[in-house]
Amino acid sequence: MSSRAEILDRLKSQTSSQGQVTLPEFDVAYIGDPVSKFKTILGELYTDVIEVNSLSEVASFVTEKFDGKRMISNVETIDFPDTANWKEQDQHLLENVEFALFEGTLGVAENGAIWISDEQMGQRVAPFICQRLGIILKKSSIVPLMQQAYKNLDSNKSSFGTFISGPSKTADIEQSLVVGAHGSRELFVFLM
Amino acid sequence: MSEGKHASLAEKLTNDTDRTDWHNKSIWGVRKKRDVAAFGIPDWELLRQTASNIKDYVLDNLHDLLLEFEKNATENGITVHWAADAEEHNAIVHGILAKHNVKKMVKSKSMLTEECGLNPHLEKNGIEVIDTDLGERIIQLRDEHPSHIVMPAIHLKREEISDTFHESWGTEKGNFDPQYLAEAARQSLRQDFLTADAALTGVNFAIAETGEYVVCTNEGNADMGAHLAPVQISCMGLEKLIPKREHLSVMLRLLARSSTGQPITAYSSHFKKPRKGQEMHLVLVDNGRSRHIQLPKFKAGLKCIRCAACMNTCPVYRRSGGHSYHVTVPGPIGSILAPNTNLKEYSDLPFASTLCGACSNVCPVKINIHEQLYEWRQVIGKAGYVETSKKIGLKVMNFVLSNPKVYDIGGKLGKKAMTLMPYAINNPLNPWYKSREMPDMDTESFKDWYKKNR
Repeated sequence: MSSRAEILDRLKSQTSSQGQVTLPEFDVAYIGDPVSKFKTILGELYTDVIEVNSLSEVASFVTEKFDGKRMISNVETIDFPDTANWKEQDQHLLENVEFALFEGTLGVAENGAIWISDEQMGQRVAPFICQRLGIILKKSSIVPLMQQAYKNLDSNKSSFGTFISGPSKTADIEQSLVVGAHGSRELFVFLM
Repeated sequence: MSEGKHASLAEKLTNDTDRTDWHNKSIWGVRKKRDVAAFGIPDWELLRQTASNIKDYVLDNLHDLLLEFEKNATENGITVHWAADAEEHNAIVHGILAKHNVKKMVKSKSMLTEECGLNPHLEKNGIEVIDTDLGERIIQLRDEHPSHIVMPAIHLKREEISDTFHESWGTEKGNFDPQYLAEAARQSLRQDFLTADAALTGVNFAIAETGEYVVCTNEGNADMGAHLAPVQISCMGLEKLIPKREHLSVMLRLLARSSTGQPITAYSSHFKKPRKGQEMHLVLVDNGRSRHIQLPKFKAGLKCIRCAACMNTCPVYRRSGGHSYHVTVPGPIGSILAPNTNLKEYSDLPFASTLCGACSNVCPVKINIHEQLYEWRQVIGKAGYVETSKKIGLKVMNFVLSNPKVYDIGGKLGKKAMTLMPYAINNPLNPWYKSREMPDMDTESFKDWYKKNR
């Protein structure tokens, strides 16, 4: 008998009927205003939250800050000088990207997490391999809890997706927090 | 794993009082962060109960859920493998790597591959394995095992880590600034990410309904590996399954808060389909789990989501250190999981507890850990695996406590002895005296006092 059959066989005898778990509605009142909670939490998570009125404001902020370094964008209407073919490049060549800009689908107030799908990433590794990361997010997309986030996300829409909540970090050396482990060293969230 | 039993292995740490205090405080700090995070949510107990219900459902329906997951994952383009035990798991992973002629593999944290002894197996077969979680990389360079499931190098001081990096990577000797050391690791591991032929990750949750799985990290190392390498392998124990995607909203709220007191990890990545040109494999590993699930009293241990809250709160773990448990998953949860795999080998672990119940109180999926520790003691006693000294001690205690006269005389003699010759008790031969001061003796017994005062 194959391992698969053996394992399933043993588990079969353990099956007992129990109703599927439906989730209760969790308390959202304690969050207060989702947008201001979202900003507070991300602030605590070493993230720069910047309120903007237009995409051109984002573009000029970024261009000024990272002038002369390699920048890529997967946001329509924002193109940086050398971005022409980065999405078709071998992903290893993104190693020298200083700044990468994407749009996020939604934000979660309780934990500052932002969902980005692979479509929004252009290349899956892009938001991880860049030195600094920027995400544009609509204020209207911010929900109170993870529960509302999953209700709004369509799993069929992405082959890969991630919640990002702050820059990469580690506390593996004597519990001392160091920001910038393997992923981005900084996260800029542009709220529109 | 190392030779010896919990009490003697713990001496490595407890013999150094300063280090024991340092270890205790550092882990207690994490426990306190967990409290702040948990108390910040009005529905915390409702979340725990819901998570517990979800996991109970999973264990009662694992057969069907695994089939549903396998079907959906396969449709997504992931190749699903089944491994009965550690050997088969290692052979499957090696087979995939050999087929692709992989020379170097990067790996993010996976306690399962540690449980299966994957690294030595692959290294024996000429494959270089690089652990990419900073804590795991540190202990890999030092040829040690993790002492904690979330903070693998929590037993090491920065000076020791600095020495290791100096020897391995030529970092400045004596520079033990965490920022400097972490940057050195970033630079070194980036080269590994860029040159690896394959990447392996663990799995935090797999979702039957969608055939996808979630990997949580703070460092971003799982993603760096998986999205750069042409081949991705992920390994999971059967019990990591959850039925629906919406259930993640409960699990992800509990995991990081219970673990480190963070509201969520920096990255919670949902892997569903391979990217263009990439091959994705998932190995479902039993290694004793389908037998464990058949033990009604111990089944609930399989609900564990590996957050480590129970070890952070455990007064024994904090002072004895992870290595004293001589098993991959240490602490209270490890002490109820390990005896399922080898009762004799791990017969000491259920005794490495005060049964205070702190572990059960913080467990996000409400496993009755301390009750199971007690249950295991009965099983181990019946099997005859209780240490001789403990057995004799308990027999003497039983004799004294069930004979009032013996108890009376014993108490009086004991009190005299303590007053006249305190060194009869306060000596290094008495394990109870280690790291403890004996209290002053009362001159009269409770019985005498009660007679006078009732």
